[in-house]
Amino acid sequence: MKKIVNISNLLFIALLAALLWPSAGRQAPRHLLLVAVVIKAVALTRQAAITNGEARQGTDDVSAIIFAALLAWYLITTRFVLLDTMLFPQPEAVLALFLTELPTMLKGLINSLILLVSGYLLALAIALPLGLLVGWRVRLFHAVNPFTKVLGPIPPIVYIPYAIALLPTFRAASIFVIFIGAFWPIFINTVHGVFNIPKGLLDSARVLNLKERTLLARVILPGAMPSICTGATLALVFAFILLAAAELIGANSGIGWYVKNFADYADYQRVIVGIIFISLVVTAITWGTERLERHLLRWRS
Amino acid sequence: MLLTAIAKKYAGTVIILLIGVVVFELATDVTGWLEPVLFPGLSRILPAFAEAFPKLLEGLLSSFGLLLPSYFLALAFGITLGLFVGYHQTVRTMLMPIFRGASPIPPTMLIPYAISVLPTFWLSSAFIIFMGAFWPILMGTIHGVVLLEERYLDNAKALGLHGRRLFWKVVFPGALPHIFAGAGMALVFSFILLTVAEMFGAKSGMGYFIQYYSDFSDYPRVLSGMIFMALFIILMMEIFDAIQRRALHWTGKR
Amino acid sequence: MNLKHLFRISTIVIVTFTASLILLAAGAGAKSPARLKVGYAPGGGSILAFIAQDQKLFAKEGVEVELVQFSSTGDGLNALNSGKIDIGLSFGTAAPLTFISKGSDFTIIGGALSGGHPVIALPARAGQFKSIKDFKGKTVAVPRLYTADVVWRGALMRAGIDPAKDLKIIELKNPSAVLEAVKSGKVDVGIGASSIFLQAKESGLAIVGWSNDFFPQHPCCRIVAKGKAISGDPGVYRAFLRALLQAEKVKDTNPKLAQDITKRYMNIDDKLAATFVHEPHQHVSVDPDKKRVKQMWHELKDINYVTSELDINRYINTQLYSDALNELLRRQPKDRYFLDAKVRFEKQNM
Repeated sequence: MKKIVNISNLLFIALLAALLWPSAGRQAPRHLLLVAVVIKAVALTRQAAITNGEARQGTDDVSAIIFAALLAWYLITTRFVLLDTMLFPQPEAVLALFLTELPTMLKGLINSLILLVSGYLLALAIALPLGLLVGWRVRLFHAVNPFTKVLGPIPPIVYIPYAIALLPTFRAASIFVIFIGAFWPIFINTVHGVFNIPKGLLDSARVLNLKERTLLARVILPGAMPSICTGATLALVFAFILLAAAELIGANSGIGWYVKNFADYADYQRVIVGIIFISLVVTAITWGTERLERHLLRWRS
Repeated sequence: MLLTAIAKKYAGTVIILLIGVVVFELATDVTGWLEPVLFPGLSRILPAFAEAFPKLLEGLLSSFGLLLPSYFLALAFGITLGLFVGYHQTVRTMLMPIFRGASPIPPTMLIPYAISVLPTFWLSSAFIIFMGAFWPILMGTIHGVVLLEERYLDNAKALGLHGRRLFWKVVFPGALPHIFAGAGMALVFSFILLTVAEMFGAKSGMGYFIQYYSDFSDYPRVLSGMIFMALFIILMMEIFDAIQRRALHWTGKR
Repeated sequence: MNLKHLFRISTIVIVTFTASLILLAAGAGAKSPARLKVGYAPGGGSILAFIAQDQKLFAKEGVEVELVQFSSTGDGLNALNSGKIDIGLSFGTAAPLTFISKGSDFTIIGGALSGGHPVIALPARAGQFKSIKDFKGKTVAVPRLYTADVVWRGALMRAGIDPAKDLKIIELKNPSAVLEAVKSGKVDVGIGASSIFLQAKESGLAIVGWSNDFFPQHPCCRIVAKGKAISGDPGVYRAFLRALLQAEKVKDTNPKLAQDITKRYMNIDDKLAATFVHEPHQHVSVDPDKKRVKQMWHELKDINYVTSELDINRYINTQLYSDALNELLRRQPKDRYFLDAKVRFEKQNM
């Protein structure tokens, strides 16, 4: 009995009740119902498949939160209109729009990913070795440190005109914006990571009398890996945040462009659709990177 | 004695800076090789800086008046929530997908909602900075707790530390390096967000100044504002580093 | 530093901040009736408000005005929509019309600026752009959704040119970016805005045309307010328009004073202030110019920036302006300036 009466199920039923409640002149919101049912189905399947008790509880709770959010959203915007409908659109309209806009957004995503991957990999390729070197050599660190502190917080509004003027193409300028956004988290966290390597590890390595290159690659890099992973994840988030700014330079598609474009036209339904889409994409990507992270850090446990 | 120590430490920095300034001046004022509107020489930047100084000071006060409360609030919420979430696996599995989904929302997209919902423009601006600073701190804290090496926890438990004492004596200090990394990123991001947060309903501010003159392509003033803000960022980060060194002194790092 | 102390300090911070938040929210209570918060984006469209404020014209008409600055049109209109400001002064024409098409209760009650956006190109390419047809096959930088952009696209459409097929458009965030794109040679020509006119000239670029060529005297900035607020207290909006009308007269009869006020209020150099006040292609006028606003609306629909079946007449109120003008004429029946304004009003609105 206890298994059936839990918060997730209660909220699910409450949501269904609210959606199906008859109301004058209003159709039952089909898309919202569909989403609710699908989420419940997925949750149930996962629960059947997982045996770990804690993870099971976790899945249940995620679905509970989603149901609570959908219920609140529905009540506040559709049942009792408490907020301005232009800025806070109804969930049914948003979900219906989500389906129709999906092809456009997927196409946009591909364009965005090209920018993101280029900028991100470039940042990784430069920030990682640079960070390792600067973190390792104290004199270099002291010399360079003030500059890194200053160059980091330059807002895009300032460097975009320079990017347009100096770089060969608009595409390059867009990639540069992503590069800058991703560079600093990776660089600073790499440096931090080097600093925080356990002394024991360094002492053992010193005994082996390695060449600096090998030392950096075989000892320092793995030692700094936890911090580097934190930085890399943060860099990913920043890259997405800057996507809108990057795609304002001569682009006419891309998911960042999509959100900014419709914000300018005060079409907040599409803005929210776009943001939900980006959130789903980032959640999927970071879920993937978390597995990668666990793999990279496996030698620790 | 102290002066020579400081001089030695920053000698490298000063040299790089001087070389940079000389090269810049050569390329702008002396030869005019770089396009003058986008790259004004010091002959135009310095007078603009001097003229704008009172305004920039005024801007400094209002920007810090905006930034500090928002940042500290983000610190308080982020660390508290992060410690809790990081430490309890069930909560973490539950909330992580939501955090991951919410963190890439650009603060600029939140502006219409901040203006609409919050009663004053100042609060809306503070909210933007808060949202920008919150995520790095939260994620850093969670990462810090999660990545705490198993053996520290095992050793601690073997020594008989449990519950609260385990938390305060082992988990929190162990996560501190990552927390500081996240807090440092959040500080930098807050400064970047000043230009965005001071875009509405503001009368002064360093970010406001930079944004304002960008709209008119007035680069001597834009760069003056940027240099001014940079000096204070260095100051803030030095203070931050000093606090970090004190807090992490037990780790015996450089 | 004891870690427990850190925790305690953060608790104190949270409490203090929340307390001050509550105090602030309580303080931000109701305004007294004759008080208006006027939002503006600094530029040619906001000059009249500065003059009115400086010459105490608002006070004379019994209104207390607080000027609230915005860097982005969208933020300003959102603030108007959610009641955080009462009037939007220089947020363009296209943007308010877009908001209206999405259901905002906005009403256009007057004007602030018309025309005056330069089309810029490198001197070497300047000769190529003599008419709208010369844009075919070229790469053009535009500041998305700015008035100049909308007006240019309308002209393209009327010339039978399809922007998607017949030329290449590079959309940029703002006129500054357009300026840099043109200078860098990556585009053939740029649709600029009045805010970068001076810098374009100083960078050595050529002005190959004006937005006025595409749509003569096109409205640029309009005065926007919320319909419900106007019907609640039309008197204060009339007073606002009266003050601006007198400011308009000051600007035209004493341009040097206008330039000085602009320079002070906008914190810019003399040269830049001069362009905002004296540039001949810009027309500063409080007249709502209903006919041209309607033309703009139809153009927005034709170029697919807006889809709407709304009757735009419901969202333009010329009565307030007419009342304001008549009141001023009642006080000074022989005033040449306002008599001319009345003739112009009838031509542009009836």
